[in-house]
Amino acid sequence: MEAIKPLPQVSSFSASVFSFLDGRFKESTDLSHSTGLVSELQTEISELDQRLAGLNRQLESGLAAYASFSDRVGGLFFEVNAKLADLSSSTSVTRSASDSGKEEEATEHVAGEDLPSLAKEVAQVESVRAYAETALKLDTLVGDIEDAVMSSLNKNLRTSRSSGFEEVRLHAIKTLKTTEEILSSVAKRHPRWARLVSAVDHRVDRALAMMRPQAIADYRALLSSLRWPPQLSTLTSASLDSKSENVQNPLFNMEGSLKSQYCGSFHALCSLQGLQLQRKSRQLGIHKGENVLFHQPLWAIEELVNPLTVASQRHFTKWSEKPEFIFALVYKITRDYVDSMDELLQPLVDEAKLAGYSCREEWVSAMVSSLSLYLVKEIFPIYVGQLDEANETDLRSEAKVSWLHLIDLMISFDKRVQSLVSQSGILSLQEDGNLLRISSLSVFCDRPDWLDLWAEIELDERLVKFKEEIDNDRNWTAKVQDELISSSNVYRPPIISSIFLQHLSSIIERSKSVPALYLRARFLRLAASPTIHKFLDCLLLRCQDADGLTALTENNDLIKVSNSINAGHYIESVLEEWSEDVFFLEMGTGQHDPQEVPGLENFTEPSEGIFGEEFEKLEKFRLEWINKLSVVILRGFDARIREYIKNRKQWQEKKDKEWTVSRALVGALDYLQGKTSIIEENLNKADFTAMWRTLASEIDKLFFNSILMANVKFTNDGVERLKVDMEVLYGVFRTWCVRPEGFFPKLSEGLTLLKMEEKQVKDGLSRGDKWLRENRIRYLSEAEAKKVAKSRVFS
Amino acid sequence: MDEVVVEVEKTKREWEEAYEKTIGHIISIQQYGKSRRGDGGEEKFSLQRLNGLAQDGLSLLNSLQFNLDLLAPQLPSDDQVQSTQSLLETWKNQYHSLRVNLRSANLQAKDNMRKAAQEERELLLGGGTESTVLRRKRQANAGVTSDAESITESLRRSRQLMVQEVERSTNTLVAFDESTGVLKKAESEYKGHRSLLSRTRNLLSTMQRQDVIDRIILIVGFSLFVFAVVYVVSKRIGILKLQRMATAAIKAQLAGKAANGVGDDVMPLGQQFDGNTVPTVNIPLQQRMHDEL
Repeated sequence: MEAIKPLPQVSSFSASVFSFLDGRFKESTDLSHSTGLVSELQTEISELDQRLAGLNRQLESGLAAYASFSDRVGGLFFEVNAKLADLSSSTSVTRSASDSGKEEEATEHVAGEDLPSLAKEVAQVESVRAYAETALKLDTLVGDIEDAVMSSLNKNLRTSRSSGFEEVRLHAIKTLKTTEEILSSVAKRHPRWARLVSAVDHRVDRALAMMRPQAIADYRALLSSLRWPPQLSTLTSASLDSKSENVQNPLFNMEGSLKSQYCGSFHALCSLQGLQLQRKSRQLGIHKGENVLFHQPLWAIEELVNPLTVASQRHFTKWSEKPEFIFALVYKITRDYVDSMDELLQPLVDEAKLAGYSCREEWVSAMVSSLSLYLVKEIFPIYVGQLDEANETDLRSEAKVSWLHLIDLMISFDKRVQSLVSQSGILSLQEDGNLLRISSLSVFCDRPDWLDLWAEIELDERLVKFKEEIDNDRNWTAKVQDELISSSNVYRPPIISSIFLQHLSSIIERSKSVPALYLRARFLRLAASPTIHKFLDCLLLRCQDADGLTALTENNDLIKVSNSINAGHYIESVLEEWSEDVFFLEMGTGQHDPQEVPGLENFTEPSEGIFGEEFEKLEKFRLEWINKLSVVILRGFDARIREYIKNRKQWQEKKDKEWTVSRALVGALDYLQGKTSIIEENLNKADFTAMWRTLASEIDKLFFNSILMANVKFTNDGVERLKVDMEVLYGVFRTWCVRPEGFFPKLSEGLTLLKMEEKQVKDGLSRGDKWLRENRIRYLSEAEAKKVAKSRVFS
Repeated sequence: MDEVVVEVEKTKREWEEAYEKTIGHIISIQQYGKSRRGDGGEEKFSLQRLNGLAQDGLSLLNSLQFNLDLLAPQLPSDDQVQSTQSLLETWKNQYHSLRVNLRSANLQAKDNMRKAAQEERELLLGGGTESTVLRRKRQANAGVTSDAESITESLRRSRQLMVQEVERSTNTLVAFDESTGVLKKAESEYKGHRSLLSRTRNLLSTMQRQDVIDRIILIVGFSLFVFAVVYVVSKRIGILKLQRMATAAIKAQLAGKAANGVGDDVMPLGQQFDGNTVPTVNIPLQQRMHDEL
């Protein structure tokens, strides 16, 4: 039996050992578990030993790897050292060569000359190598493209349909994109490689020429399998106002493999078109400005619309006499399928990276284009023929009504279509390009003679309606009672002005539907401008009637002329305000070419706008007849004042008990006040002020020339009498201004001279013009002043 | 101070204010559309409203120009007249340049809007999935915007109805005021007629009292008359009855005696009784009538 080992000393144990043992042996019964504890501890020890062994192995492998790496780094350093030694040796060779005599100079010369040429040759070799590599790469890509196209053709010829078919095409499209990217970079960096680019373009164009019809044919076959176009008979047999939920949309009913095939085909077509646009923009790189005008319709949407067009033509032919059915059918088809364009097809367009295309707009523009084409070919020739054949008044009137009805249908159709387009939330550009594509009135762009015909018919219809209202005298006497319009209070126009403005605004509203700017301008020049001319002729005719009969001596004639002037001025102010609007500013630039980019020519007068000629004529009419009113009153006043002027002795009479104004002057002033009061009641304020100022100026001249310049003699009492009479004359005009003397400058200054002392006048006149200015006499010349002074008799 | 000079100074101040305001509106028009994306919010005013304000400003400037043209010759001194007229020329040039600037600003605003639309279109239709996501967000926002617009439209219609209701109430109030006036006039007229009606009432009371007294007198008179007539009649009828009763009594006694004597003589006695009574009745009436006569 082996000897028992002695227990170790308790003091040699560590604190952790004590805590471990205390945790394990709490009670006396735990001593029986000591055997299990020993086995557990042994198990843990063995596990730890294994872990330690594994770590040792990892360390050994790490050290081995580091050693090998270190060996490779050492090898690299040795190589670097060797190369540096070579470099230093070559440098020392050069230095030793330069240290030599003539031979060293020759060596250096050779080195100096050879290095650039050597570098140049190396660069040329590098360039040739790059060219060769690029050519090989492009050749490989184009070969892939051609193989794919051929395989597609072969599969198509076999009429076998497999899943790999679309994959081949997509592969071809991807290869085309890669080729395009390479060509773009080559065209940018190496302009001298034009032959390579053109050669590749030639082969790629040929491949695309074969691929596009094939893709379109596959797309059409796929559409047929989807049962597109939908049955129009169901659309026409049902109510045209039925809800769109009832319509069976094949695009929404696609399921499973058909849907994936359709999406793939659509994606392929969009990708092809994107490639085409990209290539075209690269080829037209210098002429990018022209590219803006070039906008190709989306091929996939076009292929959706063409079968519908063919199917619709049969119904259109039946409805040639009822165009409203044609527009209703086209609108219904457009509206029913427009949402599927946004929800289903637009993400595919985005996926194909085709920028600048909205499926909704493309769908609408394609439908409208097909409708416009049909209108141009079938409908408009019929209507134009009716107008040409109709020589009788009744038949022509009926043809005109039909024409206007057709235009109304087109305008309402365009409004509804544009609201469809704007529902997508994308801001549609309000430019001629976009409006032309979604407007059925774009038929007038190719046929301006039809626009002229429309303008002529519109003008005739408006003038017929307007003439009936012109002949009604009540429209000329009643005033516009709308208090909300402040301008009507200022100008006090008769009702006929508002009626005329309604007609003119109606013409302008219809012209707003015309998509092109130059066509709008043309329509307004042919329809709106003659309307204004007609109105001006009516005003002029009324004034001339009043003038011809009684020479405006009757009060009714004055009222008639005043109302005409009010109407003209009101229309003039409205035209002036309209000329500030952008709608008219654009047309006023005078551009006639649709291809010309509208410049921001800045004209400064309303007379340079689209209604400039009419504005000038209205202004001329107004000024002319205001002057006539003044002349008429002046003539009557002159006739009545004649006796007063002839009485030359009154300026030398003695003063009686009380001054009384002579009877002749009172009569003339009463006439003056009566006439001006009538005109004040009827004429607008601005024109009336112009009228009485003109009248005051003329009366000033009349009195000055007839009395002060007529060699009469004034005594002190005569001067006083003249002063009193002039005060009474001023009193007539004091109604409209505070100091009427300001509007009678010659009379006022003449009176000032007459009131001066004798010595003052004589001394002043001898000093000449300067003295006149100092004494605030500006409107009388020196000769006139002397003549007035000679009239003075000092007692 | 001269009132013309005061008016001219007022016109000058109004011109300067209107000029600055109009310039501000023109600058706003010129900036329209530029800050659309940056601010992220709506414009403060719409372009039509800005143009309306600018047009109103130009109209006011034109009106002030007209006023100054009218006031200039009325100034008291020549120096003032000349300086005011030169100022008027300056105003005309400023008005002209304002009008030119307004046109340029409108064209600039249209160009700004076109560029903003172009940028947005390039963003939404630029191709790729980010365009799809952006467009879906935009469509959602457009839906919200259209909802807000429909709410605004309905609120505007409600406001219109309220305005109409206010106008109708105003008309009703005017009618009520007119009724009040009419009633007040009637009241004053009635008060004027008050004394007249009082005197009329007194007269009517007097007449009524007189009528009552007359009725009493008539009733009393008629009663007395009737009483007298009844008295006279009753007197005559009473005497006749007494006579008839006495005669009847006498005849009855006679008849009783005869009946007790002989039974066969009853019939002749009755006949005799009847013959006796008739002459008796006739004779007293004739006698009475003679007595009264």
